[in-house]
Amino acid sequence: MVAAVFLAAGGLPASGLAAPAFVDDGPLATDTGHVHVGWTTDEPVTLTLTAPDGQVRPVYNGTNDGIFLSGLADGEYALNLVGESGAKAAPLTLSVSHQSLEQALWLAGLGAIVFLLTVIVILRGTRGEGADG
Amino acid sequence: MAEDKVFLDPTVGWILLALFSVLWIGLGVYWGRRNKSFEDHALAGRNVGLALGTATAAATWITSNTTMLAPQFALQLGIWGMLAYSTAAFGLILFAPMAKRIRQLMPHGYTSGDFFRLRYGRVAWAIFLVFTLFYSLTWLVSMAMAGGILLEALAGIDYAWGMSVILAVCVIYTMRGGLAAVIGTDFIQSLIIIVGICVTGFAVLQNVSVSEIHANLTATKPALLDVLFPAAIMAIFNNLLFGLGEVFHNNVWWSRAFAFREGVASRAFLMGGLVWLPIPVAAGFIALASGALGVAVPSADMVGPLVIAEVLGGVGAVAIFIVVFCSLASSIDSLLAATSDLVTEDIWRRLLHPSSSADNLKRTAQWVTLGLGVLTWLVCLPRIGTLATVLFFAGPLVGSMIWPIVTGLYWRSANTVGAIGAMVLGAGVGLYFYFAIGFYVATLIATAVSMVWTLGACALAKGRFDWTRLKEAA
Repeated sequence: MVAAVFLAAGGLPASGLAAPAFVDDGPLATDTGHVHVGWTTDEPVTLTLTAPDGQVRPVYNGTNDGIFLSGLADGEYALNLVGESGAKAAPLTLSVSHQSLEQALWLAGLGAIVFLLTVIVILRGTRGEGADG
Repeated sequence: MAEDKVFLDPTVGWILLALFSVLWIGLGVYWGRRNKSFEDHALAGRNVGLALGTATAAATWITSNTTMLAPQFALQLGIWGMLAYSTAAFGLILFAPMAKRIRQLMPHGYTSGDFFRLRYGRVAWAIFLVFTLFYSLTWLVSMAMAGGILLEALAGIDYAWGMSVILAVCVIYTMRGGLAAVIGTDFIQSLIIIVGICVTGFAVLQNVSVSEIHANLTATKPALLDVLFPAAIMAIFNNLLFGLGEVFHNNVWWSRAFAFREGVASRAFLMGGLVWLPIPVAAGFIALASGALGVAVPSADMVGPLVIAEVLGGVGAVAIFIVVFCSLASSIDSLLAATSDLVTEDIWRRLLHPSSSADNLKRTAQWVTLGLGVLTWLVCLPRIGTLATVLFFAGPLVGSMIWPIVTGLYWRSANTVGAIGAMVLGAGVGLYFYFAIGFYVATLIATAVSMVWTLGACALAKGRFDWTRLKEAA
């Protein structure tokens, strides 16, 4: 009974293996929707991701010590890591807040202007129509 | 849900490494036997035809970054990221008309450094040399390090051994064969890479349909399909301009413009760009399929090999090993050749020994190639991971050189004040925004600042450049 309570709390499992643990204490934050999540473990683990709408889905099962998550929409996520023995890591929270769309569109517009002017200089120059070529 | 994967047996890896090493060195020695002078060694006798020209343009641009970083871009930035990477093809496509112009203006030219020295004077030339050597050496180091890391990840070959073998093979055949060997091996390497990527793309589609990939991405990685993904939108023109800056300034491409036969350069670069354009899309598509295939991705840069091993098994592991080896070799050899020519022509000949004979210059170029190889090996040996990321700093540097080069080729009003200011201001402001916002805006801002300064300097210029000054005798 005591062992079961200890296990549920995420302590040393009955097998003597250290409980899995995330490398970062957290919370994690990203402005690009992608993040590397690392952990330490002596046994196979299952990682689940709880989305902002409360939906839970498994994202990893195996013996690796990390996974790369990407394409996440804005919101607060929870990551839960559970070992094969049932030992749990302390949950990790992940905050996704993408960069300003307005800033992105302004910079894309600037990029388009610079690129178009570059193309115009090359094409006009090639046709001998440069301002002073 | 994702599971773990394994790769190639180390013995098979060593056998493949040995076979391709012997092949490249043998071909390098064979193609280099006719080189008598520096012009033969550095520019393949200025007689490269359309087929080899197209292949070398495409193959050199297919680096290990294309086969490894394009999937990473797609995994991080989605559909836009995949397309953003493919916009680097515009570097080759727009260099096509410029290459023709370069041949007309500089019929006896050797390097892009010759252009800066003759067009803008020694100060601009010195800044250009610092920028281009930083870019070339960091690219070289990042490729050699990637070689060691990838061979270790793919086949369990020790990093130091894998990196050393790839570098040594490229140094030997580039020393012996010069640009002729580089272009010849590029032709074979480009065919292998294109076939490998096409086979992988079809194999992925045999395992999972496009609708399944779309459904998986919608459910698990929705931002990758988002048309208004901010970081990805910013990356589009940044990557495009990075590609333009890399091609427009670097001697890898200028040496080819000088080496191609009369009338070949513009068509070769245009076709090379069109051949290259779909490759990042195909490579990126592989990454987008990773979720639907249930492939665990422990780090973004390994997504390509992991998916290929999943869909093709042992054959896939062999295929990715060969494709990676060819991608690395086709870029490392070109960088070694072009950088050694730049050092030989711009520093050894123009600064130190103006009266060097053709034979002496050829020998010097060979020793410089060996020296570059040893220097790269020494830098790579400690495996300092952050070194490879230094290449991203080069974005603002190469972006700031676009407008001085383009206007310098076509506008007589382009001048030294404009070129120096554009490079220094553009690179400085771009590097500031690299840290203030991120790598995905630095090149864009550097190019914009450089463009505004160049246009202002041209508008205020009173003098007009005499094009005949570029026709310096060899």
